[in-house]
Amino acid sequence: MKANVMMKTLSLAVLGLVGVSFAGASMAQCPTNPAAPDGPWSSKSVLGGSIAITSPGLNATTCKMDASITSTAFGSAFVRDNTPTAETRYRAAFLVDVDALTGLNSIQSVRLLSVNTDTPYLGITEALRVSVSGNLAGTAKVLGIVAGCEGQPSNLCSNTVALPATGTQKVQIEWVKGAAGVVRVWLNNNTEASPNLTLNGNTNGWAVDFATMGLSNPSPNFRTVQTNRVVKFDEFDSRRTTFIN
Amino acid sequence: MKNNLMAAVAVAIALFGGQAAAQTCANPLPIVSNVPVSGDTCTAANSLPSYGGTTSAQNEIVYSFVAGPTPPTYGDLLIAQTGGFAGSAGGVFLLPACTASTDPIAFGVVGAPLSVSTSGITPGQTYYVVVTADPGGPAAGCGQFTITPGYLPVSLQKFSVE
Repeated sequence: MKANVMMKTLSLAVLGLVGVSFAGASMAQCPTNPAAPDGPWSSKSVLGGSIAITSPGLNATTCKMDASITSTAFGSAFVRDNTPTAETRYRAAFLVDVDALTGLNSIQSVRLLSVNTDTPYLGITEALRVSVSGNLAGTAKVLGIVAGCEGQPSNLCSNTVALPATGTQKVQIEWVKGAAGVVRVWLNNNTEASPNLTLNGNTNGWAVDFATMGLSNPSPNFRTVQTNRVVKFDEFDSRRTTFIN
Repeated sequence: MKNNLMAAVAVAIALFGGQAAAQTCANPLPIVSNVPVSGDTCTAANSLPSYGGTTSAQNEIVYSFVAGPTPPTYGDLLIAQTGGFAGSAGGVFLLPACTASTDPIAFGVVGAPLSVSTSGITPGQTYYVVVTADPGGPAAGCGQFTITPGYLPVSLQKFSVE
């Protein structure tokens, strides 16, 4: 894989149909399984959760992935991409719709995207994670961004980005390894020079070896209150450096 | 007189200096039954960047107690905002361990106390009471607060007769 080229494009609209025109595509063209050998993802984890490929997609596309936590005891419903290999720069973008998570409050959280290393550093496996949770009143939602940051409290950097009240959200992240590393987040924002959030810190101990998209690490209160509520995903794309429009 | 004054200053430094340091997971402040505690998260630090999956970029002050034998009922933890928290709100979280990877098991806000009784706590276990601004609000959110605990029985750690 060459530097600065597209690492992976995994539009769920074209699951199993890469390179094929899908004008007028029907649900029959959506694979039932997003993971290999049927779909483009390396694998999936569905334990106390559910993944379904449904039609239509979120952006005039054909298919999307619906994920939900179905157990109050535990839960995972995500797909995994093993394409990255010790990456020192990593970008990913995806569409997500969390409208079904009504009343989400501050102790109801779930991961949407997890960017990981195969060699944990300081006991931390996630170079970066994107979660969704609510405010104290349960009236607004935020994306929580947490990155490995050596030297900071708990060796983590964190902040949030407020989500619009409803609708499909386009999330893009960039992770850059370095003693003066950086994490940037764009939300419904195609201006590369103006990310919605920037975290600066020492990310030098981590690299990116795989990523997961879907629902994982639901908090106990999320499992109790948000059981069976569907979060929709579409148009995942990951690269090394190029901004994803 | 001079010695008394110096001693008083030394005591004050010890008390307030200790208080400033003793409000994180490493050295939480005590919280006991029916004794209100007050603080200012604006002068604290963001020692916990997350509470499990909940991102928390706001400053926090950490208290702890060891749950005693199961009583008829535990009291609630009431939070009152006494200043600040502009554009945000004060909140109190109950954590079974004080780490950035621990999800809260309950929370309270002004007008909706944290119910310890319904949090499923285990007698003998240490719990952490974390006071902060709304994690769903601005990172700079902070303010002054008073927590009024109800009945929080504590375990007997040592006992001796001399």
